[in-house]
Amino acid sequence: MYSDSTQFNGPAALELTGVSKSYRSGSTAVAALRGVSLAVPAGTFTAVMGPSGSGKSTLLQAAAGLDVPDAGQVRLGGTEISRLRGKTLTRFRRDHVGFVFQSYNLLPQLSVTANVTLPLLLAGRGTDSAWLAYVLDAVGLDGLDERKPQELSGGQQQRAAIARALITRPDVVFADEPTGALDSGTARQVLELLRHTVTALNQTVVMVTHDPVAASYADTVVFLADGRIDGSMDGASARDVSDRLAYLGRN
Amino acid sequence: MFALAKASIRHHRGGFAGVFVAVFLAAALITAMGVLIESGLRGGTAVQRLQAADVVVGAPQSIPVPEDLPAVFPERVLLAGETVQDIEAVPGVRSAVGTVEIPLATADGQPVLAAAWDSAALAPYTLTAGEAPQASREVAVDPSFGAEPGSRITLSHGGVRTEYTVTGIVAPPAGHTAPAAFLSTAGAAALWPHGDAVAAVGVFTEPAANPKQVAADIEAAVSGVVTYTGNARGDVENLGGAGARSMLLLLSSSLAGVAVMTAVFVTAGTLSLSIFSRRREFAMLRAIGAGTDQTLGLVVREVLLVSTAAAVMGAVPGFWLAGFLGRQFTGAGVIPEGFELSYSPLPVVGAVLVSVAAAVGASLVSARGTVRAAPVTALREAVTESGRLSRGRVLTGLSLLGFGLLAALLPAAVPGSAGLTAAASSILLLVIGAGMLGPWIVAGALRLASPLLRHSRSAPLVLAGAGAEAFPRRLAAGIVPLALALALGSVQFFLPETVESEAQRQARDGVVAGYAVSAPAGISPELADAVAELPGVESATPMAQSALLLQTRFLGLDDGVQPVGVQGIAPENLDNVLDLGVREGSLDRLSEPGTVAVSIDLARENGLAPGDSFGFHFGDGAAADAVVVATYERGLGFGDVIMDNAALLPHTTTGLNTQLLLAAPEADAGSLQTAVETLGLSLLDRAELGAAGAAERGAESWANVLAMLILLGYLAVSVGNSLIMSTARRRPELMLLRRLGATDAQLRRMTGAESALMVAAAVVVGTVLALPPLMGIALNVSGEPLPTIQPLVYLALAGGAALLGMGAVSVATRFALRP
Repeated sequence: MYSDSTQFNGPAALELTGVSKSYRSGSTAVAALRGVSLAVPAGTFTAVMGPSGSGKSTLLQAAAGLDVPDAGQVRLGGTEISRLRGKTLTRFRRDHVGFVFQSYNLLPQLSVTANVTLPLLLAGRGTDSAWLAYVLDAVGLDGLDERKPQELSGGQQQRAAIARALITRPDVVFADEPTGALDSGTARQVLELLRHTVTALNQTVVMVTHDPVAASYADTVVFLADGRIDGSMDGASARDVSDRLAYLGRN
Repeated sequence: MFALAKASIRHHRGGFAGVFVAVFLAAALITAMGVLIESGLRGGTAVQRLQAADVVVGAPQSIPVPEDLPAVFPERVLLAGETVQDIEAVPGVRSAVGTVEIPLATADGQPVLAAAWDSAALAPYTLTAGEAPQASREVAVDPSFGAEPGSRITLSHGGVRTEYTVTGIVAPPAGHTAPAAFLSTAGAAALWPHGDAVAAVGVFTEPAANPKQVAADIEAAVSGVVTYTGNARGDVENLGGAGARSMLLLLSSSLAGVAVMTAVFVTAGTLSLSIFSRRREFAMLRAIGAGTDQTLGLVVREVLLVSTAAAVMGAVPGFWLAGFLGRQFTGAGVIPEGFELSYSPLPVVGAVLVSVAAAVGASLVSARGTVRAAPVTALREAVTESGRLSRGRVLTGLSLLGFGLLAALLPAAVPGSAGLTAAASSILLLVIGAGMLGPWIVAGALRLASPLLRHSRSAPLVLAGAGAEAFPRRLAAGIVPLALALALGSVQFFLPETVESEAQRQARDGVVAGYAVSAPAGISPELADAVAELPGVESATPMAQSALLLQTRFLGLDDGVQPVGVQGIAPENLDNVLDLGVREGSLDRLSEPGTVAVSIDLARENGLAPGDSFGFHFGDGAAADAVVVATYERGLGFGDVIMDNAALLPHTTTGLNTQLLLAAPEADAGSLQTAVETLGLSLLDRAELGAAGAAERGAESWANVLAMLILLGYLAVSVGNSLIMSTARRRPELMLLRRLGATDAQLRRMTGAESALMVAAAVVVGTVLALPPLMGIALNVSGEPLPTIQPLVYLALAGGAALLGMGAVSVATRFALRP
């Protein structure tokens, strides 16, 4: 794990510097992130782990430009986004960030192709049909392109969501518990697909999960506790990760 | 289970708020209609001039109709003079006073209802100065005349001016505002056209007697009388009360029908929205072992709790609404001044029962399908709606449309007014039928819009098209009530307009006379000769208006006893003043006693032809037979029956004509006007003649329009409510799109495009559905399928629907997009 981009060669896809965020709960402010610094090299697969309430989702939202941090900086693909607001932020996200969520990922009224190319449509950009075919083939949805989401299995729906995240060739794909709603067999296929996009397409992926098996597919696992980074592991197995989780926050 | 239902209501506050609003409004509307219906049964005008009488006796003012409300005679049914003595002979009666009513007008045209001096005691009016009138040219008046004993005032009766000497000033009892004048017995007798017959008898009872008992004794001892005590006395005093009641009953019960159906419709729509959005919750309940009945039971309990609370609270504004409508109806002259609505808890009970039953029934219908769906299907996260309709629904929808079309075109085949009612109500059948086939309408609209959507590169348009295609029911739920509002409004506004414009056309084409002469309170027959003598006038034909009650038929079936407009016209010189468009027979024979001419509509409805005779009641209750001598075409303009003026006048309360028609082709308009005004009368030319008739008919249609506006307002609020609900439900979809990079402007344009499609479909459907009934009516009245449509009103209706549909969705989208 790197806390800033000078620690490695090559470009950083994502860099957080001293990011803090707190939420108001009644009259008290609850700190969700306390000065988090993290740099992710391009073309790597990073998993963020931590117990509930550790700040995983807040970290993802701040990093992806879905939420604005109280303090600190977020650089995504070389652009400082923590100062962007409103339409500019929306446009930036549309062109530079891909998302995969745990649930409600696809619009039921659109076909697989239309769902996958939706970000391009929203951006008013044309579809590169060779790239679309390549992406659909890569995620294994070849031949299902005119189906509606409800005609797909859960795993196929999640593959379509991944294809949609890749279609804009984003700087980073953010995945929030992408396997949370899937059975273990299907989950494995989805994780292998994410791994494949990193290895074969040189895509940067940041995934939030609480599943050690899912985390074991990543190059780097970053642990989060009480809104602070609490160590990391490279090339860890699922067993390593769960052992590490067992005493998270105690050192 | 009720605890679970309560917890569930608390959780789904948003959805239930929508249901609450729908039921609240429905209950308010139904309560208001209920108050008007009850007033139509029990309300009345307060007794004023007969206030002091313990019992008031009148003649039977209606005839009973089997299985229907009694038919009310439009003219005063009189009591024979000797009835007064018969009543005085009944034990317990101290004295009985026969009273008459004589319409006078002051010099500046103010109407005054005068009576003989002995009637003054019935109020009582008491002398504060001077003495009672004795001679025929003497009068006692109240202070509003500004006169004093000895001064002279001019009062006119039927346009004939007479100078009276004021002998006394009377003080009105508390609360009286209408001007009062009392003539001497001789003076009243000279103006009262019915000899010694009296309008009503006021009875003072012995101090020890119980008025109700005396009233019963009078009814037992004297035949052919009806007694009234307490508040009911107002009905005898003011005949308008009974007319107002039947008018109120007719208007409010037909409106209540429409209101209840609309309320069921709208509540069902709102409920199915709120239930469909909870399908996963129901699936979960089913999955953990709740049976279909238990799940439905939960829904019913929730709806029962919410709708009961809403309905009870809705009753309060319902009372206010009824009062508001009552004041408006009084202002429009549909019900007389002083008519009191009757307020009781009954309409509230009715409204709560009806609206709760409607809500629970609607919840059962809309929840059944959702609850019965297999849990697995419902648990899937991404669901679109099926555009496919069940066979039962298709059949019901198509047959409703078929029946509606048949009813709409019925008046084209069936003459007379009964067909008009069928056409007017057919719009509900048509709209509900179309509502059942709603998803088809959406599919059709999409097919029309697809050239625009297919090749679009605009994200909002593509998404709107996909949304409309995937959720046809959601879109149909918006289209149908908007189309209903437009269609209902169009029919209700343009139906009377179509009839009215044909009536005006007939009146315009049928009047040959150059001028008409009128006076503030009718024209006395003797003035006809005086006017005919004026220079340049060839003839002055008196014309009187009343109504006959006759057994009418519709499609060969008894249609109850209906009032039919009748005009009494002197048959001499008739061709000089009117062209009725005679179809068969000849008007020449109208001078023979016992003959009438009838409109072709009435003739066809009742199977009459020249030579046939039929029985009827005059407006004053007298039964008679007449032979048809002619049929004529212009029934809408001149009433359905024409008879000799001399035959009709004795059967009117006032014995006065409404106007004189002048044939005066050579006369100079200016000098004729001066001559007529010198007589204290006013002159109308042909154009003004038509307008006068229109104003009369306008009062009733204004009441209809007003009630319609309230109904449309209700529809508008309900449609807005359900559109806001269905848009708010789309927050997850909007949030997903936003995370994928949709700007808020794009999302607003997307829902905006969907609502534009919805509004366009609603306007087309509403217009198309309104056309058959309007064309049927136009065919009926004019023989041509061209209804009279006021472009401004149509644009207001269509524009209102569009504004409402797009506005509600736009506001709700902005709301859903708030962080």
